[in-house]
Amino acid sequence: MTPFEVNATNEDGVVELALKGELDIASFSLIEDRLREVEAEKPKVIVFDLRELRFMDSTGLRVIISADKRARRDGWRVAVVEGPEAVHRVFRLALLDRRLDFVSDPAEARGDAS
Amino acid sequence: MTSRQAKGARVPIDVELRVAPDAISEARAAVDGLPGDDALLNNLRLLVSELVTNSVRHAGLDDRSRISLHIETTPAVVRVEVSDPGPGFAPSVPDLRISQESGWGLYLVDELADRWGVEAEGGTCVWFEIDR
Repeated sequence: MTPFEVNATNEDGVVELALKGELDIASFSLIEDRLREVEAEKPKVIVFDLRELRFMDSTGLRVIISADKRARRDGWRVAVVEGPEAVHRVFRLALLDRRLDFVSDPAEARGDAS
Repeated sequence: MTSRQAKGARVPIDVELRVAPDAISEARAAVDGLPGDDALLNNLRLLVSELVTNSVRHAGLDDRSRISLHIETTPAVVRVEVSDPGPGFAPSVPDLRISQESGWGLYLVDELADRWGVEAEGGTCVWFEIDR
């Protein structure tokens, strides 16, 4: 198993959360804790970069859907950089590939923010 | 064809898992050695992950309980059973008209498996089958 990692960078209110490895319930607290930290900095956008994610189950849907709800409520934005097929198809199966804001790379989300 | 079917005889896998978050990746790893293409194995990894997660999160099990993963294959079908000593539940899948934060596990099982069900006799067994 590839251990899960999350790396956050904040550039002018655009937070990139780069996720690596396998995302399941074992990594839930780690990513939720990081999210609460970066949300406390009042970002304009949080971009979930899934390109280095090897596996994701519905834990990933829960994390991103609930972040998206908080974003809509509090006036910031969630964007998602599409991961490999094994990851992206989970969004497709849940019909979330059209409901969430998918971008091709983090720069696209930065451009939208300005 | 006959010989291939003979070679494809059942290869049961039985894994006993602790009630802990790292049991999920252990359960997924059990899928790695199975015969089948990437699409089938990815489906199995995802659904095994969902069912074991449900047992860990919702079955109200204590630390000494064990979750059993059983996988058997024939040339026609892969059958997976996840059993725990918990009280069970009524199978239902979420309504997609509301963007939900939970219930996705069984939704994905319903989408990807050809058949699935819940049996509650002396514990709970959630099973699914995927046709090859």
